[in-house]
Amino acid sequence: MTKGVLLFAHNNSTVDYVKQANFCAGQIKKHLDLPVCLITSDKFNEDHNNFNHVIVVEKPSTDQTKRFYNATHSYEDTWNNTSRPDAYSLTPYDETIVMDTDYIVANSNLNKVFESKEDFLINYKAQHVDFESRYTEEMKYVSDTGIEMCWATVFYFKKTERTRILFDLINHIKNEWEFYRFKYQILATNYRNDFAFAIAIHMINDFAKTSWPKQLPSKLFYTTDKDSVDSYVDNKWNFTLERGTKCQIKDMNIHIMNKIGLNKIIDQYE
Amino acid sequence: MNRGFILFVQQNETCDYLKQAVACSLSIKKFMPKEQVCLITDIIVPEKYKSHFDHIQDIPGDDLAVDSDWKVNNRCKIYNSSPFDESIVLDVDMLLLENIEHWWKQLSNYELYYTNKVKTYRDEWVTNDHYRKVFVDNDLPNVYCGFHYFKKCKNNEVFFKLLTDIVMNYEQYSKRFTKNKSQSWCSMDVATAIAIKLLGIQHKVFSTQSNLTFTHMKPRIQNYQSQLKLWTEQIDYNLTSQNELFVGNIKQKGIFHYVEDNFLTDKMLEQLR
Repeated sequence: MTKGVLLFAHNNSTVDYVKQANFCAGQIKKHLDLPVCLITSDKFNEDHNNFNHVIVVEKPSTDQTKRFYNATHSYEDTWNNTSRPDAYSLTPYDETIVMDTDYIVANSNLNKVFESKEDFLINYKAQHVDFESRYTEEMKYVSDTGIEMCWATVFYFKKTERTRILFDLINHIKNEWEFYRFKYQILATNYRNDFAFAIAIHMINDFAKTSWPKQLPSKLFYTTDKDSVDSYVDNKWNFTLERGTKCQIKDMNIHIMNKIGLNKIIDQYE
Repeated sequence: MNRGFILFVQQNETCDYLKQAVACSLSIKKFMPKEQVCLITDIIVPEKYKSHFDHIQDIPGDDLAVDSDWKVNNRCKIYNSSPFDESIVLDVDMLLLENIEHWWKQLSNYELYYTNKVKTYRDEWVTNDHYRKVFVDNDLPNVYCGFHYFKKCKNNEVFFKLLTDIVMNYEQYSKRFTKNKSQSWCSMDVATAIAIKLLGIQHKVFSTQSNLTFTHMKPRIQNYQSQLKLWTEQIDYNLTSQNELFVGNIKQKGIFHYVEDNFLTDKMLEQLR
């Protein structure tokens, strides 16, 4: 059985996702020792040499935008997040970990997924590194009265009939997003993978909560795009959190949502 | 041992509980056609409704709810009125949404069973005590009478005699057992909680792990932020032709306590037939 990590990167004028993916792949190789496949629609720079496979796809057409924050500054730009549902059909591996390019691996915990009998693993909860931010209802459900949330930031799947159906369903939900966001009482208009995955899991479970899928063996820690990314040295990240608190983490996988700040650190690191 | 479901309806000016009882009985028979349903009521049941019940019994004795708008006090008479050796009692504003045949086997391990934890429509255990201050503040067992089970036996004779006494003398019991926070009206949940506490039988009538519970749709305990008074105004719901109930697009299972009277429409009643 082949194993590897799949990354998606579609640049916009604010964030160089391919550069970010190259850094992310370097950390994956260092800590997980897994091959990495990049799916991109952008020009590939030869300096980006941390990938084992690169699959070039057409730029997905999208007109959705969002604000990208670098702590206090923000920029409105295209948000191209629509190719992740194709992970099943595009992956060159039998067993795949898919992660956001701003999810930075710092330990080998995720390798435990390959010891699991499960065909799909994902996180239902996310934890801010300050350990003070409440796990709000907003983060628990896709909407006030809606189903339980899940986080598509990082997930694992092996190719089975069930996961094939799951990804078909996610693609269908993406294509019929207006209907599904109405059906699941989601106020935000933008398509969001977290929601589509949660809805597909709900549907595949006969519209009820079941024990499938189980959680990843790695808790999902994050900093928001309102937190500053200060430095990265020796597997140690330094942040200044939104309220001004200095924070340092070491050897911990982390989702750094401030993509602009992360890329500035990557520039220094390279 | 014969067994069956008990539904209790007392004439009331504000709500058509009989229609709710018909819907409840139809839902039971949809999934468990062989189960017997007994209606205990003081209402003269119209012919068109009679066929939905296997037994129709009068409420015996004096009316204990003469001065009450919320006609629940006579529910303590269910024990003596039940024609069954084993009875499951349901509130009439409930629908059964799956076959719960296997519950009888689980329940047979008890002489008397009450649920002390209920679920939200999102299949989460209710932890919010918004409607349970009297129980919390007075350290009363968290009883929900909406679904309970009893066998005909000596211990239960004692229990229901005591329960009747509590209902008849609620003010005195209330002074003693709900000192910290009280309610002026007698609710069967509070009266039953006092009876259980007095007899010290919490360990016999509850289960810590059991799935024998129901979905309770009181709006303030659903873990959503909306402050709308009615859940039916907040969440979309529909009953499919296969009798699958979806609330917020979440499929409901087991026993669904819809609470709000406007939930049950004539169309829904027709679908259940």
